[in-house]
Order: sequence, then structure tokens, then C-alpha cells
Amino acid sequence: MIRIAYVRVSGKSERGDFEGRLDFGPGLQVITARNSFGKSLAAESIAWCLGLEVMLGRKESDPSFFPEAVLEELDLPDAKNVKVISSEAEIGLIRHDGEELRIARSITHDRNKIRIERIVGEQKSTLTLLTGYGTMVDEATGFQRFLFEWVGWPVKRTTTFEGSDAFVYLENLAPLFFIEQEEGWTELQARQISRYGQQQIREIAVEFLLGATAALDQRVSRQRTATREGSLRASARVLAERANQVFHRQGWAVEWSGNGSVKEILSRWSSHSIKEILLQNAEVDMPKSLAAARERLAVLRDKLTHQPIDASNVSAAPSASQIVIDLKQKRHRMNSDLRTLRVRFSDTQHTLQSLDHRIRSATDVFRLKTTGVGRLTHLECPTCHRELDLEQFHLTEQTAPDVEAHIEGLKRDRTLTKQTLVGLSATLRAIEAEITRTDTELRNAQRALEDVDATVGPVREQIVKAAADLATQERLIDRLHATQADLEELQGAIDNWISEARATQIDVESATDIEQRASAFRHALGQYLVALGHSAAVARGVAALRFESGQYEPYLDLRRLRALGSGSDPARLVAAYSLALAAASDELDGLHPGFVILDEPLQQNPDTHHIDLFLNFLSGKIAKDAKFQTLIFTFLTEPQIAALRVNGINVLALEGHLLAPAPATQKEAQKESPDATNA
Amino acid sequence: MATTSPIARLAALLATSNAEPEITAERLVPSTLYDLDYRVVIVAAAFQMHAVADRFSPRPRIQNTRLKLLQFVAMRPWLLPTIRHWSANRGDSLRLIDGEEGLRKGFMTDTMHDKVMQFIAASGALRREEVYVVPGIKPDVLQGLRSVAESNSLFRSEIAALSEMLSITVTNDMLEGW
Repeated sequence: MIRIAYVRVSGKSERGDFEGRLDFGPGLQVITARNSFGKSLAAESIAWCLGLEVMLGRKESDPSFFPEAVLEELDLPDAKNVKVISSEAEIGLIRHDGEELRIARSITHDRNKIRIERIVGEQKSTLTLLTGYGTMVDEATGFQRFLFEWVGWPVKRTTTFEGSDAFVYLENLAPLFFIEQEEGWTELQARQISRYGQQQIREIAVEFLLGATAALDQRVSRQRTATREGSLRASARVLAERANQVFHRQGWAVEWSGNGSVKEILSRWSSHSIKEILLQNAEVDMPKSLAAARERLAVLRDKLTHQPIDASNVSAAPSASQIVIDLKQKRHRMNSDLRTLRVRFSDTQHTLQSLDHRIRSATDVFRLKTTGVGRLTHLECPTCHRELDLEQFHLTEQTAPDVEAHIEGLKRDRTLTKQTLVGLSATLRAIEAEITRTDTELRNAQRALEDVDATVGPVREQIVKAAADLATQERLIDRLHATQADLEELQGAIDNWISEARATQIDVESATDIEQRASAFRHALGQYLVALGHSAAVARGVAALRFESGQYEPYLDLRRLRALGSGSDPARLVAAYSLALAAASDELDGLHPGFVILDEPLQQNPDTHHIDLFLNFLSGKIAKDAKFQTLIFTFLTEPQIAALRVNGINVLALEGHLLAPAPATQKEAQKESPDATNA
Repeated sequence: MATTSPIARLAALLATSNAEPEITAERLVPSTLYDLDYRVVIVAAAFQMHAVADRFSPRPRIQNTRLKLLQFVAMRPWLLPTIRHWSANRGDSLRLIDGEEGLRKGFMTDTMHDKVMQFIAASGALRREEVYVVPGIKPDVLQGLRSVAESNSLFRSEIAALSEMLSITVTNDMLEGW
């Protein structure tokens, strides 16, 4: 646990040095001053020294959120618009064991460098570190790497939406303990960084600060598995597409599906090989087909080379011609079937589309019936005020069970229609492939017919015909070989996929302490909500306060807490959430840094009731007894300050302006103009 | 479920004999296309999105037949390509296909819509004024139904279809009988 000991802003102007410093003690303290004092400058300086400018929506090392007083021109008590030459912010952190860390960062020059002074007892050491890119990776000079180590935080990696690794950075954790005034109050973790693309970073940030590192590791492990599974599913789809293309080309009505979860695909693909599926569903046996083709080739070769030729046989030319005619008729029939099937396919697609729509509509009607949302409760005649009788209009109004039954019926129809569509698609593919094959056979047959026609004499005709048959058979064998090679390569790729998928199956998860930690957080949140006067929490009680499993968005019964209560309650929720997280972490020895900064909580709802509720909270036991440091930057009136002090609250009431000439500069000024000093 | 359905009554009768009737409820219930609540929401959305005030009428109004077509298409968004084709080729009868005639027959014979409109008119929400439908004496009855549906993500495809219909020209010729 650490606390902030002080914040200091200093610099050089054309009128000499200037500086301002605020010192903070442990526990709760309220820093009150008028708007022009520089409270925001102090809060922003803490963010700057911790390298949190990205949390404030700026680029790395962009100080543009600072006021002009530290960037361009400064108003000093005796001079206006004094040009600023350089400026720097510095904070002091004290660790629970007493070790002190001074962190200084220039606002105007060398902004990516952070000067560190480490004080252990009497010993001091200084080093310069870098913020920005590499701040966590660079073990030697990375600022965040150093800070995490100094605070005692583990370096945690998470997964991005792109599937790459990323760290959990300080700017991911800070939105839970640094509530800045511009957007910080609008919602929980309003300033969480989304541009790094870490998955579930809001949940991870909460688990980190609660100290639930085992649960965090499991979450990241699940993310990685999900990412790997996503990639496996994608490669399964590509493989299935390749397999189906091969089947399509051959006209085999077989579907090799790459749909479903990795587990489902793995189980399906492991149970049968491509060879088995082809044999089972399309009676395709490649070795048998090759053997038969080779046998036929041998017969044709023997016929051409050894068998005697009957000189009186004149059937070669008519036979070649008949083959062409048969093939043409076959192609015509298949084209006609193809047209009919395409129309049926299109109609079935249309039916499926309409069923999808009707299921959506009927589901909406079911919601309308069960929730009553968007439904007219009753309609009456505007003149006689009697309720309209539906039967008079021959109208029906269905009940929720009717609609539910109708949805079931539609879903059954959709399943059947999908099956029909799959069947039609397979038949279409088979016919398309058969047409392609028939076209090839027809070309060969026509070529043979032309050759036979061009030949003179029955003997030569028979020889040419036998040679053409032989060539066709050889081409068929080549094709079968190529297909077999394709199938073997495909099976190899599928086997590789199976072994990769087996290796990525999720290990059984071990138990973690997240339930206990989340429960402590929920309990503390309930207490803080009531103490801060959250109207929904006060009215309904916090017994029904809960988190969804694995998430930390608070619900009260079935509704999100942020949607409940009055317009001023979201700010109370943000404050309660941050403080409860610190309290729960303290109770469970978690990883919360030990300080919470609330910048201008009263500006969110400046009405008297809201202010009174907040001041009552500050005076209450829960706020005063908290062991962590709470810094509240706000403006309070004299009576409000007095009331808080009576209740023992440490109030730092400040006048004038944070930045003033440094003591040395003041002395010089006094020397130069003694009159002014006297005055 | 009330036992007013003839099949349910038949089943009850058969049950008194030695027969063992088995009723598959999902095959008996009518489609939600015939549900009054559904139709009222769609008519409300269609009227709100398409009824316009003009120099002849300071109140928003819409032709009854146009409203009939709109609600018919909203409940069947897959007909949008057909109506777009019909609209694009409305002057060229040779280029029209069977679908257009089917669509015309379909929406013109939607008697359920006529009953729903009578019901809505009886409630005072809308009323007929010659060939137009205009707000009735209690127009607030239907107001807000569309926004409630939208904010609760109900009937998104119907509302999207009505929205798309804003960009399709529907002439009086298309709304007439044949």
C-alpha cells in the first residue's frame, strides 16, 4: 500500500522561479479552494507524474490538458501574463514500509523522461526512466516496469482482440482509483483505455486491484484458448471448403462440414476419415475404381495389340456415333434437371428467408405478450367508454402459449427447410459435376468419331476406335490418380488440424478465490452506496446487490444499478465503486495502490441536497475509518469546512493561487524593490 | 389455451370415447400474422412513418390502400425486391413478372387488415376520411407504439422494411385493383 505525500509544481518564468506545493497526510482529506486556485493543476500533476496522460484522452507525453499557467503564461501576484520558460511536476509517494519515492517529470521539455529519487532511510538514489512506448517491456528504463516493481505489483499480460499479447498498464487500473473531473464521473471506469484493444480489460482491472490474480490468469487463459479456437474454427472452415470443392468436382454428394465448435468438429473429424465418409455416403472407393480402370485399360491394350481384327465388322463408325448421341441426350436431360433444381433451390431459400423473418417476428410478439411492452392494454369506445369486444370485429388475440407453440412449429419448419436446402445443394453440385464430366466424355467421343469418320476401311476404323478408347481410359486413370493425391493431401491437412485441436483443449480450471473477493467487494459497495445516499440503494436496500458471473457491473435485482435512482446517483455510484474497491482490497490484502483521488465530486450535482449527502458521508464512520488515503479536491464554504473539521476531518483550506514566486525569487524581488516589500 | 378451437373441441369429444387423440399444439395455433397486437403495432408504425400533412390536410394522412400495402410488405420484408422491381417497371407491363400480380392480389385481399382498421377506428385512434386514413379523436392511443417498439428492439425487420419503403415510389396505379 502506498500513499501520496505531496504534489509540487515548479518552473522558471521570465520573472524568476515559481512553485507551489501541497502536502497530504494519510487517510481522508479534503482539499478545498476556489476554482482559480489550481486544484485541477495539482490533480493533473499527479496524473502526469504517473504517466497517465493517455487516461485523460491525450497522446503519450502530450501535456495539453495542463492550464496555460505551466505551459505559456502565468499570473503572479505582482505581474500578469508572465512568460513561462520551463515547468515541472513532482509527486512524493510513501510505501507502507516507509520507503519514499519522488517522481518528477518536466511539463515543457523532455516530456518522456521521468526523474526518480528513491529514499531508503538516509540513502538516496536517483535514476532517469522513460515513459511512453516500452514503459512496461523495458526492464532497465521503463517507468511503469519500475513502478510496478516498487509497488509490489505483478506484471500481467492479457490478450487483445487481434489475438496478440498486451500488458495490464497503470492507465488500465487508474480509472478505478483516479476519478478525474471531466469524464470520470459519467460512468464506471469512464476513462478506461479501449484503444489498446485488451479483451475484458474492465473486469481484469477490477480483479487486479482486488488481488484476484489467479482468477485473472484463468480469464486470460480462457481468452487465449478462445482466440486459438477462433483460428482453428477458421482453418477448419477453409479445409472443409477445400474438401467440398474436391467432392464437387467429382460430383460426389458428400458434405464435409467445418461448422460447429472446435470440440464438435474434432469429434466429427476424428471419428471418420475422408475415405470412410466417401465409401459410406457416396460409395466411392478410389483403390477399387483405379483397379477397375487399370483392368479395363489392360483389356483395351490387349484388344489393340494382340486380338485379331474382323475385317467384315463395320460397326466402329456407328458405335462411335451412337456414343456421341447418347452423351448429348444425357447432357440435355441433366441440363433440364439442373434448371428445375435451381428453381426449387431458389424457392426453398426464399422460404427459409421468410421463416427466419417469421420466427423473429413471432419471438417479438411473444415478448410483447409476456412483458406487455409495446402492447395496448385495453381499448375502449371513445363515446360510450365500453371496452371494445374483439369478437364483434371477427378478430383474434393470441395468448403467449399460442405464440410460443407457433414459434416451435416455425422452428421445426425451418429445420426441415434447411435440411431440404442442404439436400438440394448436394444434388445440384452432383449434377453440375456430372455435366462437366459428361462434357469431357462428349469431347473425347466427338474426337474419336471424327477420327473414325476420317479413316478408310473397317480394319483401320476398328484400330482407330480402339486407340481412342485406350487414350480415354488412360486419361481417366490420370484423373483418378490426381483425385487420390488430392484426397491424401487433404487427409494429411485434416490430421494436422486434429492434432493441433487436441493440443489446445482447455485444461480443467482450478478453483480460485474470486468468489470471496468479489463478495467482499459487493459487501463494501453496498455499504458505500448507502453511506453516500444512493437513492435506489437506500430505498430498496442492498441485499439484492449482485454482480453477473465474471463481471463487475453492479445489479440490483434484475436491473443495472446505473439505470436506477435519481439523476444525481450515477456520480454516487462511481464514488462508491472506487472507494469500495479500495476498502475490499485493503480487507483482502489485495493490490489496490492504497489511495483514491476524487476530483470535484460536488460539481457533478451542485444542489444543496447532494452536497449535504456528500458532507454527511465524509463525516460518517465509513469514510473516516478507511485505512486507505482518500484525496478529495473540491470547493467548500466556510461553514461547510467548519462542520467537517468539527467532525474530525482533515480539511486543507487554501487561499490565493497554488503557484507563486519561489522563496529565493521573492527575496531577490524584495532586494530590488524594498518599497514594494514594505507595502 | 381456451378450448374454443374446433379441433380442440373435437379432441375433447374423442377423448370421451375409446380414441386416444393426440394434439400437436404448434400445428393448431394460427400464425402470429393474425394476431391483433402485432397488426396494431405495424399499422401504428406504418402510419407514423408514412402519413404526411400537405396543403390539403394540415393533419398527417395516408391513403387507406397505401397503408394496406405498407403493412402487408412490412410483415413480409422478403417481398421488397418484388415491389422495387414493380415500382421500377410500373409503366412497362411487359417487363412485369408474376410476382407483382401476386403481390397486388395478396395485399388487396388482406381482409384481416380491414378488420384491424375497423377496430382501430372504433377505438378513436385513426379514422377513415374518404380514401384516406387520418388521426381520430384519440390519436395518442397509437402514438409512441413505434418508439416503444424501437427502443425495445421489437419488430426491427418490419420497421426497417417500412423505412426502405420510403425510398420506393408507389403510384396510385399500383394501388388500384385490376
